[in-house]
Amino acid sequence: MIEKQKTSQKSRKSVDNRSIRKIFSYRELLFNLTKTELQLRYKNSVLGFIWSLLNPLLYLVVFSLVFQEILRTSIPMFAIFLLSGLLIWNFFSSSLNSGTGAIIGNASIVKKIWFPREVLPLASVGASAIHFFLQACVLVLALLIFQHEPNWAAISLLPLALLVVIVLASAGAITLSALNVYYRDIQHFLEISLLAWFWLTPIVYNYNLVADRLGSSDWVAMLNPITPVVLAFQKALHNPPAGYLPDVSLWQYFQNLAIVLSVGLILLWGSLRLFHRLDSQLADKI
Amino acid sequence: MMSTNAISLEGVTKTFRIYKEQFRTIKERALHLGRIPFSEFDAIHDISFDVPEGSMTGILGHNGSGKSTLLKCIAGTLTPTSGEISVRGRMAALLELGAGFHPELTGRENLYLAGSILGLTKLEVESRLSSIVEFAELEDFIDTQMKHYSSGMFARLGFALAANIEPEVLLIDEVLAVGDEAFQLKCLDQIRRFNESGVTMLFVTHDVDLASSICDELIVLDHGRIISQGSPREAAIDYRKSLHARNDSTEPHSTSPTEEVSIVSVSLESEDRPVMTVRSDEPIGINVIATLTKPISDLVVAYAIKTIEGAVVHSSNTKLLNVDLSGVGSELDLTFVFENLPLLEGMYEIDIGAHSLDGSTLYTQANEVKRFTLTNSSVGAGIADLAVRAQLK
Repeated sequence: MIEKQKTSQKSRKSVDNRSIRKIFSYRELLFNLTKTELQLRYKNSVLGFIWSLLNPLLYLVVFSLVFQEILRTSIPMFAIFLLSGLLIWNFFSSSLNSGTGAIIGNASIVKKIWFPREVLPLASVGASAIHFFLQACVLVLALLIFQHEPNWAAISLLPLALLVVIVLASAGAITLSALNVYYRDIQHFLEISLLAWFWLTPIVYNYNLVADRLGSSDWVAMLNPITPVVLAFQKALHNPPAGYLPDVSLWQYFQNLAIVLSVGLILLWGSLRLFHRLDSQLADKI
Repeated sequence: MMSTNAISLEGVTKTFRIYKEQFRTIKERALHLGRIPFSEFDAIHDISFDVPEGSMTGILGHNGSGKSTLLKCIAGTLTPTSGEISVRGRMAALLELGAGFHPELTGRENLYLAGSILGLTKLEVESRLSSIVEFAELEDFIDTQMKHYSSGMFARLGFALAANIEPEVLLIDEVLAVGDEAFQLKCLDQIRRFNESGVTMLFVTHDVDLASSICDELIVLDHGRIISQGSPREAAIDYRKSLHARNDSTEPHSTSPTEEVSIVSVSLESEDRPVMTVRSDEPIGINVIATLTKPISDLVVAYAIKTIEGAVVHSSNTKLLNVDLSGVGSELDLTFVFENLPLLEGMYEIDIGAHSLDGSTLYTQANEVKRFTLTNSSVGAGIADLAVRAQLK
């Protein structure tokens, strides 16, 4: 529905569940923008969405070559190990990447029509989520080809892990999209940061490689909020023998995810607040 | 019955900061920390007005008068610096036709996307789809990517979508500036239908004739402030005066050999309402408003109706019509009243001039000051509509 009842500009100043309800009432738009983003990416290309499947395959080939043949990693079934962590990381990083430009990229709409602008970065997260599920087909295919048995019990961690990524990515995309209107440096800064972040996350190497060296202060490695998520995926899908991943109970994995989720929800709330504060000036600055 | 206000503004001000340069990167900001040179200006200043439910209010202003800023504030895309705006009812803004359309998507895909930006659900768009496409006359192109559309097609689809969302409050910004004449008339028709069905409309334009012919009330903006508000006729005159005072306007274009008379406005009137199109069988008045620096004893005001090619159809003046203008003070408000205009359908123009009784002094001359469309169902070629029939023996 278009703006129902009385709308007062001043009432928009307070952030509370009203803004969340407003976003929810525009879910149709969120869905359509997500669809549009996907459509635009593949319009006028012959191979279409196959391109997004080629990306993880290329990573797979290059990293397998480097880590298995040159660096002689000890991780068994390296291809599956890599994909387990890489795909969820791609989801997170591409959400931030496209989310950052979401408002500037849609300047023409933002300037002319009022709607909850939070929908724009959220649509970037949505499009990245769809991509993730497409790319996950490659992983499933790899599991079938190699006849690799996942850890069925640990699979129950995955919905929670996915939720953590969605919450973190949404918080990040909402914050960055608004800040990027004020400081165009954000998108350049983000590029470098994500590269560093990628190598700081145990995706191409295993967690214990780092944790063992840190010894008793291995909690430092857990400060990276994406690490528990990646570990959960690796545990569930790759399920390596003891010594590669933290050898703790699934309950411990679950707890770590729950902690990150609560942090993520606080960040999301903070990002909505920040967005709300900046929102009134967005159309002026863009 | 007390009517309520659909739109209500109280002391709305929007201040923009004009930076000498835009410092967007952190480095630049750090270098200029705290001393970025900027000046402030109020795009709109202390605007208060109410729009009663079901009425049609026009906002007139020249370029840069703040009318679009005002509309954006009401639509919610801009947040006013101070003041209160309240809108009651389902609002749709036509701030720019085709806003939200993506050139890479087809017309159909865009309707769903733009529809959801305007707050429609998929089902609501679906149920309106055929009438939107029909209104836009784009049946053959609806599945073509919009980058292949002409600008007129873009605008048609935009208006068609907006016309079909059944708003209670509609904000319209210069939307009729696009599209060909036939489509403009169609849009006007739709706007009239909205008006009849009780839609509250706020109409922003600089086309004074259009605004005064369709609006119930006009608000004139100048430099972000309301300078006149009221009935279309008075507000239109105030608007023309403000344009005239600015002196950078070409309307009306008058060359004044002497400075004693200056024409403020020339408009066509039917039953005391300004009109843009004239029907050949209806009474019509050419209204001239002018200011005089001093009373002129031998003043004569003349008019000429010309075809668009420049042929004079008819011309006369106050001397021939036996009207004495010697008693006119500082302001002249004169109407030439025609019982009908027996001319064939087409575009015509009006010249207005003022000279002395003997024609030796030209006070003012304004050529092609007014262009109007005349409608006539008679057939035939030429200029005059002569009563004729063919008889066979």
